[in-house]
Amino acid sequence: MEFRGRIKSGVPVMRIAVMGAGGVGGCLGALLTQAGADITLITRGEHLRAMQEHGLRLNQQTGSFTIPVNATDDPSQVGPVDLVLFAVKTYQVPEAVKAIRPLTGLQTQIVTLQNGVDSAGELVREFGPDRVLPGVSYTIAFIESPGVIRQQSQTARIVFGREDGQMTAQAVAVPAGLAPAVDAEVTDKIVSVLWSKFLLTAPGNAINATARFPITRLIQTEEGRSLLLDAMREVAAVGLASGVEIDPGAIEKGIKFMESLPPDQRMSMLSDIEAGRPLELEAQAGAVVRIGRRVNVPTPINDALYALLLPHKDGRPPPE
Amino acid sequence: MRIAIMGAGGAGGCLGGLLAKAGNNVSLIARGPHLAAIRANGLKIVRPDSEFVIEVDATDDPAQVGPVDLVLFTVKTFHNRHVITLLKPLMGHETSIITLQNGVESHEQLGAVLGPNNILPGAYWASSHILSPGVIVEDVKARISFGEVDDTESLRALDIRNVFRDAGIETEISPDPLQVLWQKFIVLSALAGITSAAQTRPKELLQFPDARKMFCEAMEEALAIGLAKGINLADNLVQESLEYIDSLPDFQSSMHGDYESGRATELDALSGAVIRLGKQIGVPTPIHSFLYSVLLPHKDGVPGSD
Repeated sequence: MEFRGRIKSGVPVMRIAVMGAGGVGGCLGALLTQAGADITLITRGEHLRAMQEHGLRLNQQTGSFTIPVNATDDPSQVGPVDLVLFAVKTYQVPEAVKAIRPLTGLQTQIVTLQNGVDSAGELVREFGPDRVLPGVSYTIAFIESPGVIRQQSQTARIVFGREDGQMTAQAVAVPAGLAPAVDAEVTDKIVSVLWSKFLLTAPGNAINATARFPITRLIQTEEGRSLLLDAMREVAAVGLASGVEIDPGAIEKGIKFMESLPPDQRMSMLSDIEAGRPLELEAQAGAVVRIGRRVNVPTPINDALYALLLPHKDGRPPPE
Repeated sequence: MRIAIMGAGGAGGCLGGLLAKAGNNVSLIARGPHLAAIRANGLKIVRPDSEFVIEVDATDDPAQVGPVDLVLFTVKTFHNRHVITLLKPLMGHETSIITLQNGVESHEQLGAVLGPNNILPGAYWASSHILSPGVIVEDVKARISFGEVDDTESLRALDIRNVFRDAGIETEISPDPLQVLWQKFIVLSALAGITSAAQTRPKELLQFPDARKMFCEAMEEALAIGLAKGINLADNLVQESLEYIDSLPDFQSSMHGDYESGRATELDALSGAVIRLGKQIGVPTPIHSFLYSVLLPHKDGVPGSD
């Protein structure tokens, strides 16, 4: 593979752009910048100004660092790159798909890192299947304040691959360009991987947001636990009916994962609804409901969660 | 009439104030700063069109009151378990108790301890709340419906109605009080559940077709239980109730208000009762079970918010 980036040890390195430098994008951007990658972060507003003026700060479990970063709100200033880490919020996807056109050449690979299972579809429609790698982030991070990211997970891990499972040279070359800062893996089963996470995060997010209560504590009650289990079973049934290979142990693994979280762990939708921010509702419970209707699988619990969260979808000030 | 009000909050305090002003011998049973304020300054009632302050007997100990003619039982339902036995000193040979609470189980709970013949199930429509200790605001004028469980016309019911009417409280004797309780319960359990879980008032929430459908499905669950129990309920109750709620000005269900303020909620007497009664009689209640599960973490409120 011939890359476009700056020359290092006689060969050009991978040129990377991070579209959306929020929690996950900002965390990956900081780690890759620190490792010497040729990378630009695309973001906007106060967060952009803060990182341009003071650098980007990453607070980790075991320490923290601040680093100067290349950051801009204008992708045309960046030009074509080898890799786009596409890390905007799901409700920003349509706008961001258009915005990244200047970043893409014929060989450019775009790794999607949204929650949910359908953001890659919009990119494939715009850029075709050869440039889009649907991905899953296991990196837990959020913006603590403008220019400051908090990384909660110990590692920064992403898994991605082509939707059709082909292991093309362009896709296979990506992990080496991200190592060792980011633990990246290419898979030929990305759709299953996406659904395994979706199975857990769509119900978990919607339930902890609707109950206004941390999921880990909620599943300590019999009612909360069976609610989560039933909601996950709905998602699994929808996936199976859509032709996705679902790991038969996925639900049990999901509950075990939830139990392993710290006692007051908030999934992002709970933090968002408490702060009155927009919710990724359409990409999560909304997607379960929509896909369920398409494949004729009833999803009564996800229907109810969706109905009760809908008034908060675009964000609203919290009550007194 | 010698009247004791068990629970002098929004509903009980307002009725007690009006009955005392009309010259009845009223004792309020309350506690905490609200009791202290009533003792020190009297009870102030702010009505939609007038306001007054009245000196009224108030205590936290029913034994100090002794037997009365009528008890209005107006505590929040989650106090029932502890409070019902405290009524014993108020009971004489001919004492009647009107239950004026949300839910459909209170008259049976009281009847089991104090004798079913003494209990007159009632329903209360109004919006009143404690503004500050000793001060009660009535936003919508109180209306009461009560009656004998067995549909008899009784002299005691007529006496009570006359006393209430003389005090300016709109009161009717229902030939079928359980029907009235269930009509209110079917709407309230569904509305309180969905608006609390959505943290959104009915006016706004019911503009969303998905939530509207869920509201109707939740009402259907409770209606099916009522019908299975032999309560006389109209088949088109759900549609009529929906139209009724749509016709109301903006308001907030009391459970939503309690939840938002971090107070204990009446979840067990509403969705909790739908689930319990549904299990007893074999009617599935998926929507209320869902609502119960997501509201359960807040059932007892946040400590210190009462």
